[in-house]
Amino acid sequence: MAVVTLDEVSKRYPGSEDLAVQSMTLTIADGEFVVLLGPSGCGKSTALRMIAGLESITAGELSIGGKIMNTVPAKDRDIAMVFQSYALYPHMSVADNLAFGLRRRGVPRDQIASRVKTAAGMLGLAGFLGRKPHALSGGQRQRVALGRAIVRDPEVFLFDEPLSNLDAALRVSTRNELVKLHQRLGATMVYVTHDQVEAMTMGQRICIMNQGRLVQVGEPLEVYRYPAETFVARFLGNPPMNLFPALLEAMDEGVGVRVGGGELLRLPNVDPAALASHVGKTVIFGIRPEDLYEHTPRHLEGEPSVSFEARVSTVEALGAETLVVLETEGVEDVFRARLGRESKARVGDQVTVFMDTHAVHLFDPQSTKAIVHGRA
Amino acid sequence: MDVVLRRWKQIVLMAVLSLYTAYAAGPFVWVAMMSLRETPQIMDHPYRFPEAFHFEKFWIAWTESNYDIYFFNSVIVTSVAVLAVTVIGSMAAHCLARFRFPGNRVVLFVIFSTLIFPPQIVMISLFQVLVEYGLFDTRLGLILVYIALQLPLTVYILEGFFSRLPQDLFDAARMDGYSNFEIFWRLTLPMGLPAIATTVILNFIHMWNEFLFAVVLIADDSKRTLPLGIQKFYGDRLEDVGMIATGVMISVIPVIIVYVFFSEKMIQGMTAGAVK
Repeated sequence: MAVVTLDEVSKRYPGSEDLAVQSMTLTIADGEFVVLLGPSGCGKSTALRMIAGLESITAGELSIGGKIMNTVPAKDRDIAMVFQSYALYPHMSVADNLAFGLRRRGVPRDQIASRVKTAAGMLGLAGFLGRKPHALSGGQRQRVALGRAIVRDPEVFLFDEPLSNLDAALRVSTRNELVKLHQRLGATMVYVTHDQVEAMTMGQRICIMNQGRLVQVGEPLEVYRYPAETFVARFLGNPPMNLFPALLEAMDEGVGVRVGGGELLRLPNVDPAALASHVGKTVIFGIRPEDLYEHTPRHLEGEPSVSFEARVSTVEALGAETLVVLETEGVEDVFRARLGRESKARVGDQVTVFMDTHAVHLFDPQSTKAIVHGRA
Repeated sequence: MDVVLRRWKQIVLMAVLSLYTAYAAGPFVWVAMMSLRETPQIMDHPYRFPEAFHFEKFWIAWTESNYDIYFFNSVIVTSVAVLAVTVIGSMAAHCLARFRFPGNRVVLFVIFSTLIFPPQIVMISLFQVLVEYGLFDTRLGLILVYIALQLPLTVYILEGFFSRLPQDLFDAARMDGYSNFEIFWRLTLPMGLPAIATTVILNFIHMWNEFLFAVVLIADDSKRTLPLGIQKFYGDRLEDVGMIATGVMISVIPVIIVYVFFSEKMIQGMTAGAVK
């Protein structure tokens, strides 16, 4: 049972005032695929390296399979790691790279040969065992790095942005291979990335980190639909969620928000009692680009819709969809909308934008934490 | 027009390169030719190609002028010192490049700062120390001096190279269960071979040709190294230019062999990092 538990784990590098990882508490279930997601410098790789035993733990407790690992050397943790740079030994052949870790562990020769053969077959490397890493393509090198972890048959796999050096097409196919590999091996996997698509498509759970802090943990769609903070709302989603300061006002039956000097937008499906303490105060109003439309969408037909006039300042026609940047009177910031592929919007056009007010999120401007989430 | 211009450029380039090669290699070729000619012939026509190849001169120089002893001394002193400098230097460089410990950069700076001073300033104190410890006029004393003198440059070159090796490789080996020494032995040494070859060749050439410390610290003829032997050879055969050239060539041959053996790795070392 390779349950990985981090209990209030922190890391401070020597000579630094700030904590690279702050009181991180997380339990990764046996056989789970968890993704640590966040921008550069958020502490996700440091957290991974602490699990690996490559960085010391300043405070807190790390346990794997119920055993406290804080001071256990990396080699004794039964963990394999795939590095961003692949970390292939350049002077060794593919076969030697795969066998290097097993030799040190005293695995009998015939077993090493069979494990190397099996892993090479599984990863399509059987024809390249005699080659040195410099004679391989990027994708092949990546597979060797993966193979080196697989032959060890560890309890826990750690991945530190292993796809970031691959081109876009190869990244997609390798992503799928990794998911299949997880299904086949059933091992606990912790995957670090700054790429939200990788996180959304691969992880059973996503852990979003910011400035050393674990901000939100949840299933991919749950985190996307119910961001706990404005940071998550901005970080997850491309284009990110539109966020504006707005005034929360009481209405005859319920509450509404006023963005800039615009009209008061009634918020349906919102319990006014839950928002009572925020009425009359500024909140952060959030709406995802896909909840803005050029025409009233079918699921909003028959409901009182909210629309406003906006000027198109940028158009990105991507084929499957059209991303537009819009400006509207009374609102300082621009906002983004994801329109259908049939959109005819051109730069400079004046368009009417329909908003799904059921999908509005509200955040507290001080704590940046979510107050209300729109419907999923 | 372009073709003509390109051709002219090639011609000019070849001419410049040929001139430079002649300038650089000319004196060496001249001495090599003289080493195979008799002195009277050289006196008549100093620059002529050998009329006959007098290889027996090498045997005469070797047997009649103690060249075998000088050569043996040089081989012992240089090879032991180069080996020691390479082993100690690469270990020190590995530690400085890989381990974060307080004072890491200070140690490197102190080692590097010793390169600034001319070695002659330690001559008197070194002489005193060697006499004190009974190492004056011994090959071991000379070996220790050479190690001490060449170690800073060796550590400096190797640390620069080793620190550019990706840390991930060492982390991966740690996770595979390799000890620090095994990591040094199985990763740093083979991957650092181009830089190590560079230091081997530089140290070998420097120590093989070193004269100043050898002449001060060695007095006994049976412990002289080749540069001292050549100096003595000049005195013994003041008029015999041909034999002097033969003696010089004997001392140069091992350097050429070492260079040929290590040059490919050395070039790799010098160009490391130029391409990703």
